[in-house]
Amino acid sequence: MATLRAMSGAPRIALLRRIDWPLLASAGILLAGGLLALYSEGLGKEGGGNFRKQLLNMSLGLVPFVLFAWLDPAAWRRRAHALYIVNVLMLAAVLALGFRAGGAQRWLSLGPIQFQPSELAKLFTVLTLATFLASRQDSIRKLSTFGLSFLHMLLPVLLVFKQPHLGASLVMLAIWLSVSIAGGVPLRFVFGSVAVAAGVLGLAWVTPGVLHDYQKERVIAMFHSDVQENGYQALRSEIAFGAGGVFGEGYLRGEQKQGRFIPEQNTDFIFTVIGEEGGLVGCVLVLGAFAFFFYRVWLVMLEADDPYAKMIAGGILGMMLFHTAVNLMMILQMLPVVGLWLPFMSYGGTALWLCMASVGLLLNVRARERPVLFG
Amino acid sequence: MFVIHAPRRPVLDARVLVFPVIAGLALAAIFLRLWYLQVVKGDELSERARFFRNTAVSRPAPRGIVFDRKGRVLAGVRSVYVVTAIPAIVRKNDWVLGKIAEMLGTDEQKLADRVKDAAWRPYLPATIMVNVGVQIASRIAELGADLPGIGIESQPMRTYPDPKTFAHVLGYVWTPNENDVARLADLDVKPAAYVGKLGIEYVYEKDLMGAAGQERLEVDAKRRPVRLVGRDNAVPGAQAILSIDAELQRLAVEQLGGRPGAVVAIDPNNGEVLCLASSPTYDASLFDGGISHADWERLSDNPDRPLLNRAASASYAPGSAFKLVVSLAAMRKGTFDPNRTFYCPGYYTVGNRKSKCLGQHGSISYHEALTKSCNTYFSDLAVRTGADAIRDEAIACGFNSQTLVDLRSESRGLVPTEEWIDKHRKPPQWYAGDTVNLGIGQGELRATPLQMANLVALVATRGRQYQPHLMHALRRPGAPAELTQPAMLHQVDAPEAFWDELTSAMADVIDRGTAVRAKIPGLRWAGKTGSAEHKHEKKTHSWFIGFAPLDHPRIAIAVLAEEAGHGGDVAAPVAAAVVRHYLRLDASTKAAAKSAAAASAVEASAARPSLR
Repeated sequence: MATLRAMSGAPRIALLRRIDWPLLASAGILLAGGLLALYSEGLGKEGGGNFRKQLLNMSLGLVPFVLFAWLDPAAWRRRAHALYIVNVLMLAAVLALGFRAGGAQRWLSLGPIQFQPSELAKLFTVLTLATFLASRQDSIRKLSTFGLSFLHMLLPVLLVFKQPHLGASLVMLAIWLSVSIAGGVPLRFVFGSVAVAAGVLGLAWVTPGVLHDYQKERVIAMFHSDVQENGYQALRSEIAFGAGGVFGEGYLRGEQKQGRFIPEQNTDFIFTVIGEEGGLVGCVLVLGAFAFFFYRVWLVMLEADDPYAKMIAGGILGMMLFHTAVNLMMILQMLPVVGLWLPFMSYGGTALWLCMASVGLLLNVRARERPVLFG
Repeated sequence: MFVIHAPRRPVLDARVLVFPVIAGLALAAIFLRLWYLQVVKGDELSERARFFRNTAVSRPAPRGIVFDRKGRVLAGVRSVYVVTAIPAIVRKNDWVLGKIAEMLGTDEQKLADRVKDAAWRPYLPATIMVNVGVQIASRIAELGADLPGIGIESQPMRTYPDPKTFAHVLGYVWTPNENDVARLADLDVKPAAYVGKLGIEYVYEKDLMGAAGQERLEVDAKRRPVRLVGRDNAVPGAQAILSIDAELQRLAVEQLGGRPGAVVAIDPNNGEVLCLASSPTYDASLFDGGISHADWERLSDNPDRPLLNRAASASYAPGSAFKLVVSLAAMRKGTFDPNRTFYCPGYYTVGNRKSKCLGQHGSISYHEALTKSCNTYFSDLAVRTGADAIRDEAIACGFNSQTLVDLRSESRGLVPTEEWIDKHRKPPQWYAGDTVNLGIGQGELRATPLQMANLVALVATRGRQYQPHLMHALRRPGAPAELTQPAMLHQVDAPEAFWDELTSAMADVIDRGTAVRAKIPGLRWAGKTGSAEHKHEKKTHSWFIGFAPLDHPRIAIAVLAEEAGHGGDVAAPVAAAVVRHYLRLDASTKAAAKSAAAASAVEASAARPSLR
């Protein structure tokens, strides 16, 4: 805390100089890769698909990026209660006033801008949970603290789950566990809760009415690749990867892509464009960029002294890692299709803003944590 | 200003290593999965990708055009309109089919069935109705977007400029049945939408059908065409040039005047069929686009049997025209003696029966007997020559078997051989009277007009009989024409004196014998009549066979008129008209030739072949 306070008065130029350029660069590379893939995907589509919209989203994303990079993270901490209430209210508003798309009610309109509060909820819960656990560092090793942190998460998670958005609620649970790990909660609690969750999920599966049929079907489809819409989608994405082979069909040349064989290819399934056009080589390059990005975020977490900063970095790392791993695994038919986007690459405004805000926040935290010996 | 990292050593405990471990495991699993899909299963999945991506639309090939020997079009190709439907769109607008059915005056269910059959390619237009009139087609085209999913395309379709005259030669085309599919499978081809059912269309199906074109399309996930990948243009069928002379054929049909009968003319020097007319005939164009039930019943129930090809698929007792075979048999057997006479009292006695002759010819020689068609003389000649020799000669001359002319369902005719008697007669006994009957072309003996024409062709060429055929040449796209080579079937070695005797007697048949009505001014030609009894209460079948000119013959002809009376009265004048026209001896020939030339110039395409 002492460091933060000292830094808050530092000249702006100093903050700029302390930017974690490799972190920013890896995020930039992923964003650029996503744009390239989106451009290719939209080729031949009316208006070039969603490429232009994504460019616009990216420009708009500079606002949350700068906001989170500039404002002292302590400011969020001071207003954690308000943040929590706003978060819950927005999620409740989705259920009450939001509009539906694709069978779920996930969207809110604010003037011309439509956004998914469930995405914002991810970052908000990182901040409120980090605040919550940071203020309980003295009792962090107690099970009661961990239990209270679960209750802290429970309301937003349930609201998201109700939309229904299974993927986002799972992400929030992943955030809860990541922040807990970063914040010093005993690991046995964390892994114990994972075991309990697995048991609960198993129960939910067999108890009628808890999981929607389509959610179950997706799980079933994963094991029967030729049946139904979801199995079809998964099979087609498998074919796209296979057609790409080792070196890919070449940028802009994907034939599966041109055939529009893969539904939602510009959002959740954007990686199939890379798989087909870039082949194994392209995929490994993208995986490498993600790995490097995760490494830099991990360094932020590792080198932070302040538990609040540590937990922010840990929460974001957990969120990004979960999104990336689950998205790729569902595309590659290793997991059921749960509808999670690929960070930085999938088309979608709110998701992109969340990613950019997260990077801003990470840069902010990183810059403030570095002690300056000579100024 | 220097910014320096704090010389710190963060603790790498289990807590901080959880993240890299999970990330590492996840990324490794993802990499292995990618390796499996893109390297191990890459080829297999690429293959599946190709399958999913492509489809092909067949474009029908125009059937080969059929010309007569002078380049006149007998069977052409025209464009017809077809109504197409895109199944996916039609299904969403289910009222459309009802409207179309109403416009086309057809059953909605029939159209719906066609759409259903095509549903496996929901975004490609499928034909639901062929041969739509131009007015309805243009109305549908005008309505355009008001009839979602419905389109008009054109498709090549067989057309017959003179569908009645050549129906029995050309046959017709119609949708293939199981037999057609099986037959073409043996020929290694798949049937097109229409296949030849009879005649030339049937026999030369493989040559005439051409090869359908293909448009290879790339399709998307919903099998909507995305782009054209490639196109193989349809290869039109081979052009067929028949030996038929369209003018001659038309004249023959006209001469028969609708009465049941047939005219077959052959070039005796090579077996080319110049004319193969059967009467009454039918309109082959009734079949295009689907014959109606009423039309079919009218054709199949007609007592005159217009669908029967009397020239080749029906056989009749040849009557006295068969005396040529008896003469040949006698020559071979050594019983032929032009100087020998036989007394004709007006009948021939065999056993206790008397076989009637046409007149009382008194003492008569071979020459006079043939000229006047004396049954008594030929009964005696037959008895002296023997049934076996006559039967053998008949079979050698092509009776009792198909001539294998390029037509379908040819009749074999019948020679009552011993095997046949054993099988069909009870008791299986050959009587002396049967030999007498054989001598005058009666009894169970049956021959087709084609066989008779081929017989007289043999006499015309003094012993050379060629395979009769209709196909003069086939011209495949981009290849030189394949000419049908004449094939000699049978050769009779006989002294010139025999041929002189036989042909001069046949010339006298026309000059002063039974066929004086076949006389052609300025032409000496040979013939023989036949008046075959077949039912007591009915008139005889009227036959005439002949060849012209007497020296260096160019045409051999057989005419049959069912139940028309004496051969000299009915068949002979028909034959004379045909021969006169062919040899350009009639006054109208020049005018006809002129108009025919003009007509063929219009009918035929630029690539019109010409025979000579």
